[in-house]
Amino acid sequence: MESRQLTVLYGSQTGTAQDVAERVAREAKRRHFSTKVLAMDQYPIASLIHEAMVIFVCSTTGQGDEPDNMKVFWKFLLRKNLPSNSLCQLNFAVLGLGDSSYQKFNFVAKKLQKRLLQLGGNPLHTLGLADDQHDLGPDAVVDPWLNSLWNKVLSLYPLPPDKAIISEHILPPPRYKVKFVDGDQDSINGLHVPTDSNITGPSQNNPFYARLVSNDRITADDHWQDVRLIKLDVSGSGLSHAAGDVVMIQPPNLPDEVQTFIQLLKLNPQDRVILQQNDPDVQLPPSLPQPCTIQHLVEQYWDIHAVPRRWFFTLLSYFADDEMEKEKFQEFSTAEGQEELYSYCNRPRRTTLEVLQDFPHVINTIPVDYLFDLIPPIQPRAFSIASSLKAHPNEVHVLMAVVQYRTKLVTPRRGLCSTWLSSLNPQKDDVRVPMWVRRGTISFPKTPATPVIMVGPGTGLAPFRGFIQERTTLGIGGNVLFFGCRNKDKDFFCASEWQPLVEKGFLSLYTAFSRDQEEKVYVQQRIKENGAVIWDLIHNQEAWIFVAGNAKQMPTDVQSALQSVLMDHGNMGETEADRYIHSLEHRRRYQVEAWS
Amino acid sequence: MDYVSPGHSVLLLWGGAVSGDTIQTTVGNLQTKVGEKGHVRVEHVDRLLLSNHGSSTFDVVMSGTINPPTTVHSGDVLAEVARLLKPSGRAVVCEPTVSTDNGGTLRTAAKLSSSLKLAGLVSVSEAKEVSLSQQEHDLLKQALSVDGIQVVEVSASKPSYEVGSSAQLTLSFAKKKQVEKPKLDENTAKIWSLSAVDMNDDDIDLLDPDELLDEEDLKKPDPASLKAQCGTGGDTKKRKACKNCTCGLAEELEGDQPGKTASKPATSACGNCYLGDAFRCASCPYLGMPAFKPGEKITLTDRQLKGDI
Repeated sequence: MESRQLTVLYGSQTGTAQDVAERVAREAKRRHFSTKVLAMDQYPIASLIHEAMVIFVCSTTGQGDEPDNMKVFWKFLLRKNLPSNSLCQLNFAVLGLGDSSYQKFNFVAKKLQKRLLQLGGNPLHTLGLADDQHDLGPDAVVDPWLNSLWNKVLSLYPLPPDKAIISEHILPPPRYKVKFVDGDQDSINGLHVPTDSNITGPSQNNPFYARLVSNDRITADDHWQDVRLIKLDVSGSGLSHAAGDVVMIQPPNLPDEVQTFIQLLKLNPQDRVILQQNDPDVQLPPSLPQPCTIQHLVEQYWDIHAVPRRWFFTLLSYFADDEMEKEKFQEFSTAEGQEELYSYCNRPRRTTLEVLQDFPHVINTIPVDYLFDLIPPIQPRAFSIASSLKAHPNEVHVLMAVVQYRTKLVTPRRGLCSTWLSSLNPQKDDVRVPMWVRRGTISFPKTPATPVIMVGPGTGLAPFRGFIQERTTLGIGGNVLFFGCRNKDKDFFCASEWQPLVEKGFLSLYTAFSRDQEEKVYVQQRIKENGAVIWDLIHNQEAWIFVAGNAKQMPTDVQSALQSVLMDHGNMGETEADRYIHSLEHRRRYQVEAWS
Repeated sequence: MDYVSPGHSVLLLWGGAVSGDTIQTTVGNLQTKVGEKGHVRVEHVDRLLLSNHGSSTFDVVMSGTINPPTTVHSGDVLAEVARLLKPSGRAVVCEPTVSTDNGGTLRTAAKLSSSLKLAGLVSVSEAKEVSLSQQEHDLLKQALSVDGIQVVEVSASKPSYEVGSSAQLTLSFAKKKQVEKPKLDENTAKIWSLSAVDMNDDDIDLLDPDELLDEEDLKKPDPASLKAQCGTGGDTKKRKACKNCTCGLAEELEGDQPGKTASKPATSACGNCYLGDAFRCASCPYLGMPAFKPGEKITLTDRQLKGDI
């Protein structure tokens, strides 16, 4: 007898696809399915061949790329050695979230659908292609797509005879049961201490608390941007990392916001709670101590600084007593209200805390249990590791811009992790930073003889600093670095480190200081100017090329600069150059790591 | 006892040094209030968890309301009270408290309020001090052997919605015959599982993902298909007037004031300015600022008065 199991897997960059995936899961639960929802990269892919029904929800980012939290999963699916009947047990459906103002509209979902078919999966439904450009946003496609999906699913798995679809007007049960612990009662039944005995090293559930060694500003004091070189001591952690790897840092909330949140919701920070499972498919958060104080939850767990999503408002609409607030929450929950919600929340980057401050009535009627449903946990931040263990044993370095900007809101926006890290003073206190290491998406050549061209303007320099340290410590040359910033004496990161390497012949350095002269000069110009050298490196010496940094425009500009180098020096036509780059990319000789 | 109305089901919890006579009088008074259609049940607070009242049974649960109250309500008792209340039902709890937490048996009024919250109750009222007679005070001091006791009354409501249940299903119906899926080939399963052991193996040949796409996939949706029907949201960038708008924006949007649109005053008298951005007009000069209290004086910076440049 098959059970009513349904898994929802998502790939989400900004959170929208995750939001939709969670909605799919809620709708499945209302139809009496036992439902799991996970990011694709969190899912144990070995189980996919045994899965009966999986709904995929994925977005497509800027250049037609897959979101970060499905990259590993997707790379696995692309393996040529997977047999074409692998997924013969699987019923699946794919819902893509895209934007038709971009050239590569919903490419990720389209490719995923094709690949799942190739691997023998059985489609439950046609591919869903939601479009941000629609007047009603993605809902214009998502709503009808889901309706017909459920019809098909229910014809395969009819409702049990004594059950009906649970109305969407009934508040779903909270994710966890929250139990208050009296007094100093520590040894309570069901006490759960998070331990992960069989894991091999620090991880999200078991971070290493690295000592902060230093936190130095590396841009001039009068420069517009505050960029830090942060050094962490990881001795005793058992961590090891290679060039291209990424350090994950788990930030807490900012002290002033913790304070405000506690006062606003009239919580008692000393209260202690125990969480209990309330849904067999939802595990307790492994990182939380049990029992746990309200202070700890507000400080370390609930992401009160993030922009709330649509479900937050839907959920609040159940709790609101005040007519005006209730009406607003309901409006924000509808398809028609999404533009309004977007301009209220997403565009000005309004935080959960700020939203709650705008609704003074509902904050008195939120049951504590539902805080876990309303406010998701704080997400760890990823930084390219900017150092090599060979050059700095037991250390991890991070190159980090302190994020601060203005929107329509009067209070400036602050990045949670960078604001926190930049406020730490290792001279004053013993400061610890919860962290672990993950493999990066870029991988450097393993053979020392292969020359490497690295294009890393701004903080894009980070992974290359690590790789250059690694190679030059071992006495390996053939390193070509293109670095760009605004001014030579304001934001030329780690300038003093490069000169000795250049002198020893280990490094060729090309710099572009965009604001030091009348017209702006960027790395892509330098690439074109040095076309002959680059052509020789790529074509004759089989160099690998890496690009890292801000995702907005730079990677595209660098790619077209490369294309013109191939056309000018390799005598190629436009399409031929295109194909050449494409084949480099396919052989991993051309890799891009971009972030926003 | 203001919460009790005719027709109500009321649960009265008692405990400690309360005399039988007092309970009888209190029950009599309650009975009169709820009238013939109402019910009053009485239970000793220590026995509440053993008694078998059904969920969502009572409109009002009162505990410790008979003087002098000696019971400190545990989380379990409060959770049970929450279970027994009907949606929107009210719990009234009186408890002896101390003003600063000294680690003793009694807690502060603030802690009592938060434990009501943690029990799932909402709209928790401010703690009200209950006045006791000298005799009651002495009794209490004797029973608890603590100085500086303050008896407070706090009330809280059960949320007004029904919470869905998360009961597991047991399925006993016969499954509809569906097209049999082929069995998973053993070798295939083996290859797949072995591959999954090393997710990051860079040496395995990968498909070129771009080759998965065909001509059809490069097409983009027809712009005409992206318009909402029935004229809703057709002009998504339109300015919106707040509810009860009196500053003229509503009329302007309705098209009632042709020609007058340019001379709209920068200030607004619609009365919604003090609310958060979610409730303000699209032209409100306070946009971007936090909500403030009505009547509070707020000064605008130059930047705000100029608006967007």
